[in-house]
Amino acid sequence: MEHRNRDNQSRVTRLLRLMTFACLLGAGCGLALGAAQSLEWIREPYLQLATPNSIHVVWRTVGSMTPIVRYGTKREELKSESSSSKVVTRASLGTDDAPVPERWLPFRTPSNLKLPKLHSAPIGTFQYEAKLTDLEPSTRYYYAVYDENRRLTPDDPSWSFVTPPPAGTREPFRFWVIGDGGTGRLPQKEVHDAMRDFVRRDGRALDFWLHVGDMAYGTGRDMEFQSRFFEPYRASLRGLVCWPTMGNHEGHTSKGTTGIGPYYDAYVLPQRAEAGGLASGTEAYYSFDHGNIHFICLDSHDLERKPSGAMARWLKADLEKTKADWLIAFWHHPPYTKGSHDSDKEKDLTEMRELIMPVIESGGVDLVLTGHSHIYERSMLMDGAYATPTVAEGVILDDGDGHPDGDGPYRKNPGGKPHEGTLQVVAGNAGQTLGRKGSSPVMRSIVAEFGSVIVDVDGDTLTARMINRDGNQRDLVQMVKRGPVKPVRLALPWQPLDYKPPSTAPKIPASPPVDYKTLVARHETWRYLASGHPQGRDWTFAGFDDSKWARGAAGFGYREPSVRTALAAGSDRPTSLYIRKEFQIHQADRITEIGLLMDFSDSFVAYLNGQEVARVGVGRSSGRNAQKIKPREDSGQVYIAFKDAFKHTTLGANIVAIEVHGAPESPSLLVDPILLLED
Amino acid sequence: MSQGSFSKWIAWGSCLLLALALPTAAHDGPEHEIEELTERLAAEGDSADLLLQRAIEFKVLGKLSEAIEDLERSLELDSGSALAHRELSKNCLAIGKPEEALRAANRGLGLRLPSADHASLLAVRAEILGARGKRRDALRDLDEAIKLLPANVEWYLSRSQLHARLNLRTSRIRGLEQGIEATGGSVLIAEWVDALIADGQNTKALITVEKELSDSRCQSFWLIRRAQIRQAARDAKGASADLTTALEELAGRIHPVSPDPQLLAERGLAQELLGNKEAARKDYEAAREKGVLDEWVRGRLSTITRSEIAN
Repeated sequence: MEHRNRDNQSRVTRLLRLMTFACLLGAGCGLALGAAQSLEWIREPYLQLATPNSIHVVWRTVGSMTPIVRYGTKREELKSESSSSKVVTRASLGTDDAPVPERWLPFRTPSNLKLPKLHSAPIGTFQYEAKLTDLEPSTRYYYAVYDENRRLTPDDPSWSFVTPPPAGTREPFRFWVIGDGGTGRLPQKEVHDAMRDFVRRDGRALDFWLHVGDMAYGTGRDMEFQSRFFEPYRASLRGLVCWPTMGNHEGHTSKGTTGIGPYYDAYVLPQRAEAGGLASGTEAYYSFDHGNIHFICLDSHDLERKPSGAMARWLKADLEKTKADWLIAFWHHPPYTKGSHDSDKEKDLTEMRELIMPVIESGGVDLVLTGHSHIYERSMLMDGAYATPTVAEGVILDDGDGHPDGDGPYRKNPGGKPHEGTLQVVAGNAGQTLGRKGSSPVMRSIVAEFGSVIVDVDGDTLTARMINRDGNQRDLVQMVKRGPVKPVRLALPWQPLDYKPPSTAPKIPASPPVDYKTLVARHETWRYLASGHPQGRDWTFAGFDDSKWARGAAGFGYREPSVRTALAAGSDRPTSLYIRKEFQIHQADRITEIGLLMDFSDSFVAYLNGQEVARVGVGRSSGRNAQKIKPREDSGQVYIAFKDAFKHTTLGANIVAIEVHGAPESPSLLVDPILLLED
Repeated sequence: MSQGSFSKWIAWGSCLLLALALPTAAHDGPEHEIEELTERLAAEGDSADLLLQRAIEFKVLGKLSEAIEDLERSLELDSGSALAHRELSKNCLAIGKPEEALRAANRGLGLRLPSADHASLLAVRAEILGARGKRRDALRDLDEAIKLLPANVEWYLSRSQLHARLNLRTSRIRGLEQGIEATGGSVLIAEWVDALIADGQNTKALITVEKELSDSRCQSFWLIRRAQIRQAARDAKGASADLTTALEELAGRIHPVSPDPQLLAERGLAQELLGNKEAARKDYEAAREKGVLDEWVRGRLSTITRSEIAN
């Protein structure tokens, strides 16, 4: 039985179905819906690699199409066209040494098999990357994706973009910065909604956005990108370019050394200075210009950071070349943090400080944006803090709050002069569980709340605001580049209050994804065994004969209000219980996560097709040998994600099996599961 | 209310409670990850994957011995992981055990791996061989790695440094040209200019140098290259003027307490070309201490030493 959570349907397929419905109601959304009904989109069109004269539109479909993008400055008149011959197509069509479902065999034509391969996308996925050229700078264009002559995207003003201005232009710019958001959970959605609401209320639209990494938890798989990045942010992706840097979670499956993986499939990034700056020769690190701002993206995860390495040498050369008014660098691992990570203890962070920051500051960078640490931290104006551990003495140039209505903005001379001060912002608070270990001595503002950062650059003034998930501004800092300014190093600067994390912080249980299907609903019928223990682990596999097991509606147990199938509660009450149930999966390579939303007492081990995928409160072993059973300390329904469920799931019938054990002296026993799928 | 929406409501409710309860705790960095993985290993028994994950977290904390122990055990359980072999090899090299590093790389290279993984392991082995002074063997590995995966800028740079130390000037220039064509990487263009100057192809090098000087904000790097070319053309005055300007610019950029080692190496070269060998040596050694450990600095230091002995 499968229930779709329709409130959060976000795929284009669903959108198109809704449009069809709207048309049937006479809403008049018109174009080419007949075609749309038969086309299954995987990833709706999004924008990449913008220059003043070009932009890329990228999308994915199930199966192939004849890709054409039509565009123009008037919504009703899309005069220009990017023909299919100019579109780069990539595909996932399976491999010769693994079985390919029959449905996809017709797509394995000789010409399709020659297409560049998508790293790990579901079989049948086609990705199209259309480059729109000959655009005018600072101009709004409307666009539509066609399958030959059939329009697929709706006639809606949100399918439009504004090209960047020519490099050097001094106009007001606004961009959004988020990090560590790709969880698919509620805080991610709220942070995104809060940003959009803030921007709407403020009356000034974004020009683009930066993602400082960890956009696809847990391992950056293709499906995690889909469910936890492209779907939650689709409203901000179709009209704005997201410039990314790779986080450590994407780094599980994507490699900077090879440029291969879902991260590199998802993005079209500069390698040969296509958007300004100096050619890096790789998508792992790059630079681009937007007006009078020069942006530099580094790969802090898996590339050599040493000064003689390619990345550090490129960084130095790139900074030596640029003449932009503002220099902004971004990467994942923060050089200064005491949030969920500690930059004095972790090698990746320490090296970014000791090896990369000297290049950054001798190149005159103004602002460094990072993530990784799940918190918001913002520094004072600082320079030369490369020592480990980080100290503030002698490295702070202005210890004020940087607020125009407080101690005043931080001041620098115009131009990218070296060692006049850098502002550090850690923005790893866009979705993943927050954490704080202490107070970094160089930080002026530390906020352990979900949120994101909006940056405005207007001439010689840069303003950064942290907006929390409720839409409230929690920090504002300003930097003004207007001289003359003589930097002075403060011997005894202001210091943040010490923070000691509680020694026994409550363990925060995981929350379920926002968008999910119910694979096994509450109170469905399961097979169960409450008398004794099954032999071995066969009972967790699909082929096991469970016909002698009893049947009943979940929850199972005794002395618990949510019990539907009551077990004996007297002196002969069972202390262990085994349940199993079959469920269906229609495409195994489209699984992001499977998990249990479950009330239980006291402990359990869960299996998926015979593989252990979750364990709570059972200290060792399983079945009749289960040991070290802990009494459950909390109560109620919690969500437990299965570990690596995608590896253990098969097309068609699958088995979920759960063994539940009561702690010694425990008065009750309960298992009341719902099985959820995030795809 | 349907079953699906009911459960969704419950799920969102739990999220809301969590959100109100928060906001700090959990996912507290690598120590926390190690703790969790250790618990899982105790409960579920050893698994190659869990051990590999824990090794990576140990490495983040700089606990390389613990990482090596986990990687060795992980490879006992699953010898087919290219990542585990590469990590083991790199960690062994980092703690000064090149023999063990080489063995791990060789074991990995004996596997049937995707070409990108094989190329990465070849590059790791080249690094180990280079560190042991076996430059020709290292060069062979890098050539093969580049053949398999021609888009890695770092490997072209490493190969160029090996070519330079082996005095293979033509191969160095050709190798860099191949890299520039394959990647477009600007650092390869700078390296190529150095290779041309080292080979006496100064006219060709000067075209790029002048172009870079005309549109760079900071010019010391290219001024020093032009000075080298001018010195070769016996234009001592012009060279000296370039070097003086470069040193002035560098003085404003080099942090007085915590200098960028790349800039130190650059100043060292300017000093060397001006004949200030002691100042040059000081800068080179400081650069080397701060991580510029590559063949280039070694080469410059040995050049100074040789010239001192000759004098």
